[in-house]
Amino acid sequence: MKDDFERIVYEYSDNLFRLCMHYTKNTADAEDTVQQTFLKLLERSEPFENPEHEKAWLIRVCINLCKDHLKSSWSKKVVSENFLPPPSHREEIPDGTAPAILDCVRRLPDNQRTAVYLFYYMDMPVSRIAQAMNAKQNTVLSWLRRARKTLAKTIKEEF
Amino acid sequence: MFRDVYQKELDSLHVSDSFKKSVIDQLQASRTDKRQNRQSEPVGKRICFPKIKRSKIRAFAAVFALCALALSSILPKEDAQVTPLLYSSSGYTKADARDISPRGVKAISAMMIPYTFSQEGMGFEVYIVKDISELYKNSPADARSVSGSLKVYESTSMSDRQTFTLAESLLRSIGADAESTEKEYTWQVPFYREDVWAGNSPQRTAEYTPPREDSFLYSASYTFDGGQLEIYPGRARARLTVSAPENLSDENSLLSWAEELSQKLGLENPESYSYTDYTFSGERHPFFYVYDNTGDTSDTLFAHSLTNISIYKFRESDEVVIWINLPAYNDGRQMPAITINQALGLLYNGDYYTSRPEGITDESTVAMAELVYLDAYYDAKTCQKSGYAVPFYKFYVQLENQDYLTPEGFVTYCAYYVPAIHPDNLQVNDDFSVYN
Repeated sequence: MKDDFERIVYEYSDNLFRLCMHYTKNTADAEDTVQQTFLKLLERSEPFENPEHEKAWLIRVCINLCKDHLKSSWSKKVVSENFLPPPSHREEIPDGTAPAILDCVRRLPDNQRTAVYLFYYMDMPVSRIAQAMNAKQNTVLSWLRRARKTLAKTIKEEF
Repeated sequence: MFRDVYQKELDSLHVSDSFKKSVIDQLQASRTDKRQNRQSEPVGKRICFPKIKRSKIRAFAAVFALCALALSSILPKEDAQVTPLLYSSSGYTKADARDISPRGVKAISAMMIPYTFSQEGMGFEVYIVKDISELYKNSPADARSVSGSLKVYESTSMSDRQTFTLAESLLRSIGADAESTEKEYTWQVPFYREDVWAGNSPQRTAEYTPPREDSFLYSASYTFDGGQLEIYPGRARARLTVSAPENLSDENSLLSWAEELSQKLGLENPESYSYTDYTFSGERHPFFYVYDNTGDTSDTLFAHSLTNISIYKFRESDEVVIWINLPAYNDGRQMPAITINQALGLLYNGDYYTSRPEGITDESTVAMAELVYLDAYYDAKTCQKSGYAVPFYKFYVQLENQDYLTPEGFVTYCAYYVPAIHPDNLQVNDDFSVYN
């Protein structure tokens, strides 16, 4: 089991962290959520059926914890942006570099941004995304379609 | 195209190896705890051993108990106090001081909430600024990424002899002749009313001769050609007034000069910063700060918070006042720290320290957070600093009621402090007497 923990943490922590960053917008909160996701493993008594099942389960727990975090009383009150250094202290994006697409994705509704992440970054098939997000395949396809439309508009307008 | 850029951006986000290791450790520790708990739960079953096995188990248990007893008398004992004493400050209606010290030691320290604003003698720590980012201090430690532990520093008092040695060293470092300086000593002489201490009265002497047996040295002043040095051993601070070189017209040259001077005064890797804060009278915050970046997170943050050296340049003259915090602390003791999210949980739960009369509500907005060290307590009776410098999360909370004393275009924020050390490791003495 020790090796199992190591394998699971090393295999999934980066991807779960990236998923959390779509919700929490700061690294400390994202790390906390990733940690809580792994701790949920301890509450699970049954083994996973296969690696896909394990992955889908972790993603689902992680999304739920991210949503819980957003609902919590203090996260609503904290102006995350203001925890960051003021613009003069931040690193500037050098000219010619691609704009922050991630920021555009973050502005999408919860379901759409998660679907975009799982589809475009994790390369998961729609059937697996549906399983991880507890939704029908057609619903996932519809989220992706809407997200593509919104993103195309935002990217065109802003950049 | 979208997929490539998106993937590239996300590839740059990853957690550190130390984070992964700490999660694995935590998982293993939690699993061990769970197993132990499960084993200690009554299961409603009785296990019967054969008679011979039962006597073997009894013999083993007896030997084990004897060993444990012997070990317990050899091993150092943990402090028996168990209560984590972090009180909600919602009941406090004015600025006050609290004892905060590591558990297991005598509580002799306090955290003093600073007064930066007062009205008719009462006040609380507020910041009136146009933009909260004006208060940004370019801290060497990011409040959002605290994990593991932070140090707590115990202040150590300075003897008069150490004061004089340090004074000579400071004078030498700036090229002043210690022998030809004019010296003056200020003593604090206690006075009493009906045998009860009623205050201290200052008396000055040209020689190091206490005016009375119970008086103690408050400051030593050295006037030399081109400036003056005053040392306050109880506060562990020194004040140097000198003429600055003529070419220090802009901020950058002043900061470079401050860093050079700091190196002469003993800082190994000085770094400087200043606020961009404008007061509501329209004037820029006039202080510049220099701290020693040692590479150690706690040490550097401690130096940054207390600022080894702060510099004030008068506008109307070339005179510069330099405050030097003297090294009157021990090396620090590592203690478990809490994350900013845990601190926010405590904040909204009312477990904070503040000088503001009102507490925060669910509607209060935290606009900025910093990790800072608050200095050990200074007791005006004994004129000594004592106790511990403890790290705190400092939350700038926007006041809901902006009507009073907030000029148009400005926003008022009040500071709320939550200790960054885990509450189980702190003890707070509520009976502390406050003299100033």
